[in-house]
Amino acid sequence: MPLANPSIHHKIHQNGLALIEVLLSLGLSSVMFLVLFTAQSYSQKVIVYSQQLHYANRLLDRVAHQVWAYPKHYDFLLSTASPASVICLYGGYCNPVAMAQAWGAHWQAEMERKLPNGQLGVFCDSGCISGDTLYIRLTWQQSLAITTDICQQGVACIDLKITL
Amino acid sequence: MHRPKNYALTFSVKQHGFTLLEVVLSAGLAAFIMMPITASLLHFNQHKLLVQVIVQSQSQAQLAVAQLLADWRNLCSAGVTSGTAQTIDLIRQYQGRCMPYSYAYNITSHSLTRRKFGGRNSGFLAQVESVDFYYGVDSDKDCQIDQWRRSYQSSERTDLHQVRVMLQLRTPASRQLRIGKTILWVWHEEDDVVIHPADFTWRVLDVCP
Repeated sequence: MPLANPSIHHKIHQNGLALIEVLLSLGLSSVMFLVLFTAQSYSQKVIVYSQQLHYANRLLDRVAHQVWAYPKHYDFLLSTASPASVICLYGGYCNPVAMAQAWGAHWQAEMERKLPNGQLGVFCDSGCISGDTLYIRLTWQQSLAITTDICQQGVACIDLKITL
Repeated sequence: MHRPKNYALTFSVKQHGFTLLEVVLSAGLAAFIMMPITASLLHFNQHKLLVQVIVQSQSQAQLAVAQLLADWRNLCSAGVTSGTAQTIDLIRQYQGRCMPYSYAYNITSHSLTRRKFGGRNSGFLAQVESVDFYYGVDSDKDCQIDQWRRSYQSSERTDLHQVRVMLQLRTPASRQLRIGKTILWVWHEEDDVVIHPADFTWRVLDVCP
């Protein structure tokens, strides 16, 4: 079959990406990664907060179990204990006041060790007598914590009320 | 096939390869893009593993505590008869009868075993790194614990009020995690597990009003 136009001029133009296109792509990718990292960091913080809450709940449960053992000495749970009081929890004979102080010091130390600026609070409405309400409150620093009735922004707290 | 005699075919294709500069710049750009992508993937993977371990360890701790408390709920007769730092013997109800049971830590199988009187040891709680019992006793009958000791015998003139169970559990974790020691757990490199505490206090019975 004869060719209509025997002379073929084949010219190939290959244009690469313009600098502006490359820069825009890079900028878009950067924004995308920034968003991903921000979301990831926030998620990580939420996990840490959840872990802290879980730990605090378990500690609160232990505290609630222990306070029952010293029904007349709640006031001493947060009074200053001597460093030697730790022996009360590991084999030593102690009177109820010393034992309550030792537990208070133990929990406080545990809160400080495990949670940032962790604080333990034990208090009653009035006098810690029968019929009164005992509050056990754990607080610690946590940027994700929102304002509640009992705690301000940035401070996480959980509490337990026990009717005496 | 018929071909005209005057046929002139002019076909010119110019193929230029990449210059060295282009190759270097392309490789640099690819590396620049790949670096954050790789870092992100690694970070996401780490994040996923971390979440898995946290959820597993939390649920494992809750289940272990619930399992022990449920098993020790129905005491009868003398209740806790004796105990050491790593064993505890008690009498609990079994099919309507009071039956002695022994619980002990088995270091080789990393488990807490249970044995019914006259029976054999059977695994009760798996993935246990260590267990320590402290017995809160009242020796002067004033209804308050005055000593936390490592052993207990019901024949002694003391009332057992509480048992502190200091339990450490093992949660299998991927080697890729390698998070070392955090405030709430310790990474055990040889066995690829994280060791985390699940301490709790068991109120044996309400001895006093």
